Amino acid sequence: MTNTQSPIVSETDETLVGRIAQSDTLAFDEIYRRYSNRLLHYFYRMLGGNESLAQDLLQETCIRLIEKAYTFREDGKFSTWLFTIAHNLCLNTFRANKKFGGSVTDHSGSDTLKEYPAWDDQIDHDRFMRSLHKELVGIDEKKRSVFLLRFQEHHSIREISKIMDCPEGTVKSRLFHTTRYLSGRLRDYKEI
Amino acid sequence: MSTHSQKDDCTKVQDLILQTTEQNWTDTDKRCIAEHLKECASCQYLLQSISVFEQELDPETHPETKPLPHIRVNAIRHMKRKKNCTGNAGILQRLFGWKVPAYQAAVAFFILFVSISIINAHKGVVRTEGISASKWISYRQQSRDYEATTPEYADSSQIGRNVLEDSLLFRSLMQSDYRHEIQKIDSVLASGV
Ligand SMILES: [Zn+2]
Repeated sequence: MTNTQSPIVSETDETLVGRIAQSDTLAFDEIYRRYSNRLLHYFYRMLGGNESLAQDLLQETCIRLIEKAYTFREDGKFSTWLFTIAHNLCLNTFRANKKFGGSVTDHSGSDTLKEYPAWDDQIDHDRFMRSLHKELVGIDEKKRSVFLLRFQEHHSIREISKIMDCPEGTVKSRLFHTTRYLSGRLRDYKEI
Repeated sequence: MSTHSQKDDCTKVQDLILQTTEQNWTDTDKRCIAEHLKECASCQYLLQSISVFEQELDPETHPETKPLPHIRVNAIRHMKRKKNCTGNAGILQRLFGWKVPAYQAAVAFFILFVSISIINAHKGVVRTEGISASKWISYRQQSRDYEATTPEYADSSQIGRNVLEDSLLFRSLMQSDYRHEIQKIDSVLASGV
């Protein structure tokens, strides 16, 4: 009577993906509950706020998760594996549609920060996000992905290098320049 | 010298704040970062920016959109279809990559079996005997006709008729490629009947 919670909630992601490979719908439901919102926001922000495309990519990720669950190796981390699928789906979308593929005027490599005013304590979230979307679309998609994987998804540099299949040094450098660039641009977010 | 040292410290601190979150810093890391931030406005600003980004980008506290309900439903439906893909269909999928649910594969095999049976029944082939009774009768009739139209065979003996029937049968078997039947006849002939 006291324990009404399903034990599936306490299962690790790695155990659940093994059960998804055996077509266990409850395990899929639990993974969906844990990751669908995060995946959708990753797509949404990668695609400059294109919601319908973000929903389509979430659907495609779910199908690939079900189809490829048997290929997941137990010694790996599930979230890294899942976001590798998501990142590759984004790259395919960028290849098919140049609109999302980063701007030719990508200034994120240059360090434009000259002074360091404090961030406002009361941040207007909606205005900030509108400005962030505008800035994100303007930068290279690989830098955009590094930025979101690190600060939205809290993946480590090593995990991001696995997801993006590139050296840790490259990830570190992309992250450093993007963070410096965006913080320089967004401190004035109220005026944008 | 002091500028160089400051730059080295910046690189070290920036590495730490970019690579890991605050929860993963050791006590030594925390001391080192705190000492450096007192003197470095650049690193202070970077750390503050990261904290703003992490806070504002959190999809749980600041959702900008939410998954459409049909996505989950479609995925579960896809999973159930995949689950039905077992048994004979599973073998088909492993061998040829055909994704056919088991019940569909079973129905297809049943229709194929029934069709072959009907075709064989129509042809009158009885596999256990090697040759059908209707064909045997037809060869016998051909033999009789040949006998009736050929005067020198008119009074031939029963053995003669049998030889003629056998030769017609033999030719037919050769055409049909019933080699095992020919071997059977050979063995019968060899036994001196
Ligand atoms: Zn510094």
